[in-house]
Amino acid sequence: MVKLMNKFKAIVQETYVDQVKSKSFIILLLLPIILIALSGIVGFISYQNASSSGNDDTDKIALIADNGIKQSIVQKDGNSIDSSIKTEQQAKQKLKNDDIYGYVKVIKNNGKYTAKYIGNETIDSGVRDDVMQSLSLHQNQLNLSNSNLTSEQIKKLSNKPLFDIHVKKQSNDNKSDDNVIKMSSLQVLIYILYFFLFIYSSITASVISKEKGSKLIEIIFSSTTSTNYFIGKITGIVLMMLTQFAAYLIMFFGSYFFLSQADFSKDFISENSNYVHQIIDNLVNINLVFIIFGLLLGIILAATAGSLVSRREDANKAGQPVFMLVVILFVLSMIFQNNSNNIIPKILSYFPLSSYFFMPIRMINNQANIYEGLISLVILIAFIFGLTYFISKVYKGLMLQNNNGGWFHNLIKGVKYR
Amino acid sequence: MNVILHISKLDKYFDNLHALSDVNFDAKDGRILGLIGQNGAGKSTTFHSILDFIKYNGEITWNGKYINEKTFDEIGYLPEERSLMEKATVQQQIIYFAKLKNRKTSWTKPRIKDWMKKFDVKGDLNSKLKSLSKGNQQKIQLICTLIHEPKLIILDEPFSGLDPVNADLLKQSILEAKDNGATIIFSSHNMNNVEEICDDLVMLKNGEVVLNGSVQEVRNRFGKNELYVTTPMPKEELKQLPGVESVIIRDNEKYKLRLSNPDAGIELFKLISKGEYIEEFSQQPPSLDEIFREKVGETNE
Repeated sequence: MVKLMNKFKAIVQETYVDQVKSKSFIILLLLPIILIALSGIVGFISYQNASSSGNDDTDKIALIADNGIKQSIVQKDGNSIDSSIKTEQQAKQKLKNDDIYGYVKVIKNNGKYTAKYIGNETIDSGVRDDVMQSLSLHQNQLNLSNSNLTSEQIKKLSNKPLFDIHVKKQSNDNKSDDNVIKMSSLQVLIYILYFFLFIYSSITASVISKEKGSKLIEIIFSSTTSTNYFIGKITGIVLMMLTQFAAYLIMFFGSYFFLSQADFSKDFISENSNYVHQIIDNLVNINLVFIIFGLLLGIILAATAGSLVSRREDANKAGQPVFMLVVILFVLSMIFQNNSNNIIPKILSYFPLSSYFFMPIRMINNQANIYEGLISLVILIAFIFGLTYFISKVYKGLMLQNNNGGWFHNLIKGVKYR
Repeated sequence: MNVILHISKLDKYFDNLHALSDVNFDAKDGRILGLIGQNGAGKSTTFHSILDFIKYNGEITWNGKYINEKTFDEIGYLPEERSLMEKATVQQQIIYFAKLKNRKTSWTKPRIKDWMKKFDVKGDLNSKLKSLSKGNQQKIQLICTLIHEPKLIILDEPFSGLDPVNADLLKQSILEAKDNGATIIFSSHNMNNVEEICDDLVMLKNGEVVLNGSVQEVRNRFGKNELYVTTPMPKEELKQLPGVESVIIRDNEKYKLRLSNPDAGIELFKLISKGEYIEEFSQQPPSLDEIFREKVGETNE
């Protein structure tokens, strides 16, 4: 037993180190950084363009009005108003020089305020509203003082209607938030599965098929059992995948933490952290277990496909059957992600070749409870165990034989071989 | 001598091809067994059966036990074609294979240098395998087969592709392993190698054992029917002598006579030497090469 374990460790280590040291794995690890850096560069360039074009025209106007009115407006819109301009003459000059894009002149005539805007472009609607609000306040005061009313009358005049709001259910706003979270969780789930299944089935199929029919495998099978070797290889690849997972998680949480601290992004992050947390909540539960076992199944299927190729030279094509399955699952999950209570996704959520896509989808959509999830998970795990047992038994035959038949022919031959 | 590897009633079909039929032979403890036969005679299939790569009928035991995971560590196997890991260095490759034979890195590492010296490998521990020449790769493969000090060494065509100098290095290391108590089985087309280092031999033809025994036994079984002489007598005259079946000219004045009966040699010595000095008169059993050809059915040269 100890001997077997030592050999198992050697196989796992060899597979793991060989893969993790490879250039393609390092590129894979750096992929998110490269993507983020690229999008950062693109973002920076477009920001540069936007701000430099923004510099061309001014975003300020001038305001010519009584000091009282001017102050109350500048208080609200200080950023949009160049308060150094006092006279219409100055304003006209500045407008000509393009230092401002327009000016507002407020005049009082016969107890009535009139604001007049002259400019190269339309006045900013926010500034206009503020000007109007301010002016109507001042107009009110003016009206009251001009009308000689008693304080009793003034009080009556200032009566206002009341709008009392009572909301019994969760607000509509929250509901749409929920939907956004659901949709995003589903997208994240489907893409994680798709991405990792694709990468790892191709890695596995090529690792396995490269040894097909080689004399190397003869030496190995004269040293240890094929079961030990098969499970060792799979374990090595799974460890490699977990390494990548861990690296991505560290990158994700590292950058999340950084962005939530950094000045330029912390507001954005704190506004959206709720979304992110809920998406994580949707995935880091039984669904994560589904993801991991789904990927494990993908790896085992790819290893099987790899051992069924005719010749080592076909290593590139080895993963094809698994790729097909992954693409079909991807398309189906895209079709059914919003309609997952249909009979087809219901069946697929228990069928072991597809349950790791569909059960999490249905769980996120609240269409399956934890017990249904566990039943499906048990089926998946049992299937994985059964498949691993079967493959590891026939693995020796599959790997040692050299036939030129199709994969089914090879499977039959391989089973008979040993 | 103790029988250590026992093969009895070994039978194997590949689809309709009867690859091995009723193969029986034993390898004895601490001896070298040569397995000879033409291509397709069943040598590799026999090895694959011993190593439990294929299903077979019959019984194969090593030290009285079936060969499986427990006994793998005592076996060193060199496959017919060489194949090593693509990316590994010399040291990584040797250590990995030794680990699979349950030898720790700390055990293997200090021994690699000696082995490389012994086989005169060009390259150092950290050379990439693919940077080595074919011959050197072959030597690394041999080191992988032998370094864990196996008790049973199975070599499938170890001499193919080796130049005479390297073939000698291999022979030496096989004999060395034998001195250390290992039992060795190797297959070969080249009868000279078998004759030089083997104690016992088994010949397969179309999956059947046609010869089995120690090298001397097998040769003597064919009788001392060959006579090597150097004489100025012409071929025609030699042919007329009593007991001579055929005459083959080896070189100028050198002949190989085939006798109908080993006893004819006494009379022939008188007739050919005529009582005077004779440079060469040697009566021998046929060489393995000749036996091989005869057995295969290609005795005509």
